[in-house]
Amino acid sequence: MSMPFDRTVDSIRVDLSREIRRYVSGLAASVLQGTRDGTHPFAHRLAAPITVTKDQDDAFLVLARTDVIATAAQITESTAFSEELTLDEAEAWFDTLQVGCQALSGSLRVTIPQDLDRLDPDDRERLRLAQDLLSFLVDVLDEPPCDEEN
Amino acid sequence: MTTPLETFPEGDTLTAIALDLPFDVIVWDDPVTLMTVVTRILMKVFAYPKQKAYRLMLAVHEEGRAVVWSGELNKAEAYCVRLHASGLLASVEPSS
Repeated sequence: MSMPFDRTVDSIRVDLSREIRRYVSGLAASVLQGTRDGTHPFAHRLAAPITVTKDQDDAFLVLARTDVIATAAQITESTAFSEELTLDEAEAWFDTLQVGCQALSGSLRVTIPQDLDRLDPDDRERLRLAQDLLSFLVDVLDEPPCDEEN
Repeated sequence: MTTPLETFPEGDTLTAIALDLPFDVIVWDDPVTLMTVVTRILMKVFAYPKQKAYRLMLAVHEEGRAVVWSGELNKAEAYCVRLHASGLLASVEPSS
């Protein structure tokens, strides 16, 4: 995959196939579902303990975390087929893809690098695609905006 | 020598003292998160300069975990929530 993002001063142009956009949308939908349904395969990782010495984490903190994750996932899902993203929307993609990558690996019981070798090719590809998109987003979000006049 | 716990024997006060103790925010290594992603999240959440975030990321990668921030419990928990919302494995525990 060649660089699918191109940054201007205040936005990011997106050049992704419909298939990859469907993947982004689906991952965001799964993250969102994981915040709402405790039986979803993503739910366990999304509800990780915060303070390990407490019997139970503060409900307000847990709610705040769920709200932030769900909001970013909703933004990502609703912009998955957009040609252009604002920087805030691109940040939401970044967070959601990373949260989704984490939750997916958790649902696949990947805890050490060797676990990746036993995954079936489709699952490995799903993780790799999230990593590729994240890598591109790091580059484009951290690069200085190009001067459109040049 | 008098310890802080002996000075304040009441339950509520003990809790308050315990909360004043420093807590660590720990980031844990995992097999799927890219090193560049960890660095960027540490810069974003803590406003660390790139060099510091990179050094902490390397510590996470090489040692399996690293303390990325220490201080008051409520702030540590807020940082941990932001790390979770950005997709890093993190936790809060009392400083050792």
